[in-house]
Amino acid sequence: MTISLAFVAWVATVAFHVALCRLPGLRGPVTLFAVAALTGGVCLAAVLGQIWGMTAESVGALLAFAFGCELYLFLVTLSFASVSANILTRLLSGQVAASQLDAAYSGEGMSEQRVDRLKLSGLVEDRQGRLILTKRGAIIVGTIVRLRRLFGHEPRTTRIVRNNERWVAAATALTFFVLMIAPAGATLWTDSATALFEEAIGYRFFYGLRILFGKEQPWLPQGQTLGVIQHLFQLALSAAGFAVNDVGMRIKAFVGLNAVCFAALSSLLLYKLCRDVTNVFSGIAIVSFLYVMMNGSTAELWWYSYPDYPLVTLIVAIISLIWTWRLVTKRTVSLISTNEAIIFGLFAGTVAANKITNIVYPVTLGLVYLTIYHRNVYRLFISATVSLFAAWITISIFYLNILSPIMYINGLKIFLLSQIHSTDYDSVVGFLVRWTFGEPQSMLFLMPAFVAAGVITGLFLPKYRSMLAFIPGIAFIEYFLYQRFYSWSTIEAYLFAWFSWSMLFLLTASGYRRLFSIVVAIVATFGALVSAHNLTKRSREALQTYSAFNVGYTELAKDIAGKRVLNLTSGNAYRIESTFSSMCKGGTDIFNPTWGDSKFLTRQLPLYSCAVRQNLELSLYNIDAIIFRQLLPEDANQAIRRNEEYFSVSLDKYNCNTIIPVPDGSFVACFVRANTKPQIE
Amino acid sequence: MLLTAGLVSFPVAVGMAAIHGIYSLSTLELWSLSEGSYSLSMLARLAQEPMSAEKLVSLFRAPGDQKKSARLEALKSSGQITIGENVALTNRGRRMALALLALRRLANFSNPG
Repeated sequence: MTISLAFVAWVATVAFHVALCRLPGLRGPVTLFAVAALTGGVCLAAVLGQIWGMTAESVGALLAFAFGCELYLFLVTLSFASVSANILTRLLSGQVAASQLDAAYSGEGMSEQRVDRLKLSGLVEDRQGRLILTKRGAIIVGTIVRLRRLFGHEPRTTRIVRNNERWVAAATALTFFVLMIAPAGATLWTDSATALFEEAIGYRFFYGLRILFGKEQPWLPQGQTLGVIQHLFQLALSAAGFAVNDVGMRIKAFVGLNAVCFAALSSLLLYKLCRDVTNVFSGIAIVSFLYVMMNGSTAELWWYSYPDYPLVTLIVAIISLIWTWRLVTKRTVSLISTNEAIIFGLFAGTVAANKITNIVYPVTLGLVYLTIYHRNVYRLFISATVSLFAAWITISIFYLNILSPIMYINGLKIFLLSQIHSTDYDSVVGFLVRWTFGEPQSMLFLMPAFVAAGVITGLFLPKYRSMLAFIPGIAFIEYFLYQRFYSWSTIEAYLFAWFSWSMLFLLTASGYRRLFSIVVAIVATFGALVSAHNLTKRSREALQTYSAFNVGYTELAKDIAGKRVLNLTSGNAYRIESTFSSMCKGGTDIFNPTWGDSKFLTRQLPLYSCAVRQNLELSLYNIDAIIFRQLLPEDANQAIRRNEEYFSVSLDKYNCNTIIPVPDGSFVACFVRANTKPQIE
Repeated sequence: MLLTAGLVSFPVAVGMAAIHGIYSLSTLELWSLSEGSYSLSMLARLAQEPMSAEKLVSLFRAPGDQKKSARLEALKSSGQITIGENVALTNRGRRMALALLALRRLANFSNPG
C-alpha cells in the first residue's frame, strides 16, 4: 500500500512538472522539477506519517519515490543535454548528409554553443574581452576538481606496472588467502572450531542474534565495527535457511563466513599493496613478513580465524600501510583537501569503534601528514574529532542503553588506574626479567630496535623523516605490551611492529636496486615457509585437543538431551569448553553475568541455563541435570565440593556418575535421583 | 533473498533496492560529470587562466571534434544509426529517438544543444 502511494505521488509529481514547464514566464526544467519533487515528497511524507507513522515501510516508500524522481530527472536531462541524444532526435526528421552533420556538430560549433550557455547561466562573465569565472563558477570548478580526485580522473604519477608483476602480485595475494583460511578450514574439518572459538561465539555470535532478533542491547566495549559486518553475516545465514536457535551448523557457517570474507578482503588489499610499492618483490617481502608476524604471537594464526575484532585490526593495519606509502611517495597536491580530511575522520571513527588501541593507526597517519604538511593538518584533527564523536553517539544510540557509554567510561577509568597501579610493583627490573626470559611477549626485544631505527632515520636520514611519526605509536604499543600479561593481546603489537617495519623497509629500499628487494623477498619467503611449517606442527596438537573437547561436548549433549540442565561455571578456567560455555557467555551480560539477562536466548534455549556468579541464591528447582568441568589435579569429588562451596548449594540429590574424559580433566554430569526432585529452596 | 526468507516486508525491500538505485545513479552521474563534461572542462580551463572566448573555443575545437566522432561511432556500433554518405536512423535508433523526444516534450524543452 505504501509503495502504491509512492507511485501515485511520483506520477502526480511528473504531471505537476509537465504543467509547470508549460506555464508562461517559468524557465529551467531542472529547477522546476526540484520544486515539483519537493512538493510531491512533502505531501507523500505527510500522508505516510499520518496514516502509518514513520515506520520502516514509510521510509521504504519515500526512498522509492526519491529514486523514481532521480531516475526521471536523469532521463529528462539526458534527452536534452546529451550530444548522442541530440543527434538521434535530429535524425528523426529524415536522413542527413554526413557533411551537414559534421558542420552542425563540429568541435567549434559545440564549443561556441557551450560558451554561450556558460555565460547565460551566470557561471562565467565577459570582462574586457576575457572570460572569467564568477563566484558560482569557481564553486562548481572546486567541486568538480574534488570529484575528479575522488573518482581517480586526475592524472597521477603512478609507476608503470608490468604485466608479469600483476601475476606475481595476484599469486602472492592468493597464497596469503589460502594460508589465512587454512587454520579456520582445519578447525571446521576436525570439528574443533566451536571449542576453540567458544568465547567469540559467545560474545559475537550470540550477542549478534540478541541484537538482531531479540531487540536486546547487550553491551560490548569493543568490536562495534566488526559487529556491524557480523550482523550482515547473521542476516545472510537466516536468509539461507539456518534457524536462529541452531547452535550447530549455523555457528560453523558463521565461523566459515568470517574467515573467508576477511581473508578475501585482506588478500585483495595486499594485492593492491604489491602493485603500489616500489616493485612487486618488496610486496612479497612485506606479505611474507606479515605472515611471520601473525604466526609469531603465542595465539598464532587462530587469532585471524577467530571471529573477533583482530580480523578488522588486520584490515586496518594493511590499509594504514597502503595509505602511508601513497602519502609519502605520491603526493601531487600541496594541501589536504576537505574530502581527504573527511575520509581520514571516517577511518579514525571506524577504527576506534573496533578497538580503542587501534587508534594508534590513525594517530600515526596523522603524524605522517604532519611531517609533510604544516599548513592545514588541523583539518584532519577536526574531522577525526567529529567522526569519533559521531561514532560514540552512533554506538550509544545503536545500543539504546543510556548506561552503556557510562559503563565504557568506567571501564576506561579502571583500565587507566590499573596502568598507574601496575607501575607500583612492576619496575624496570620486572620488564628486563620478562624480556630476558622470554615470556609470551618474547618478541618484545624487537620494539626498542624499532624505536632506535626510527630515531636513527629521523636524525640521519632526513629524507625519510616521516618515520619519526611512528615513534609515539611504537612507544604506546610497547608500553601496552609491557603492561599486559595476557598473551593474546600481543596481536596489536605484532601488527603495529609489522606496519612500522614495512614502512621503514619501503622507504629505505626504494633507493636501492631491484636486486636488493629480490634478496629480501627470498629471505622473507623462506621465513614464511619455516613459519608455516612451525605453525602446522604446533597446530596439530591444538586441533587434537579441541577436537577432543568437541567429542566430549557431543557425548554430554546426548546424555542430557531433553532434560532441564544447569551449567555451573565457577570461573573462566572451569568453563565447559564447547558450545555450552558459548551459550553461557552469550546469554549473560559481560560485566555482570546472570542467566536470564537475555530473555531472547532463554526463550530460544528453554532447557538450558547456567550460573557464573557467586552468592547468587541459586535454585535447583526443576533442574534435571547439572553439568560442570573437573580440572586436573582435582578429582570429580573435589570438583563437586568446589561447586557446592562456590554456589552455596548441595548436590546430594544428584548422581554425579557421568564423567566424560576430556583434555586436563573431564566434563561431569549429575542427574537428579529418582523420587528426590529438589524442592523450592 | 531477505524478502523471500520473510525477514523484511515488501516496502522495506523496495526501499533497500531504492537506496541501491539512488547510490548507483548518483555515482554514475557524478562520475561521468567529473570525467567527461564538456562545459565543466571549459570552466576548469578558465579557472587556470582567464582568456578570450575565441581562444577558449579554439582550444576545445579538437576535443569537440573527437567527442563528436566518438559519439557517432558509438551510435553506429550500438546499431542505432547507419553512416554512409548520409547518416540515417535504424529502426532501433528511431525507437530510441522517439523515446528521447517524448521525454524532452514532457519538459517542454525546445532548444537542444
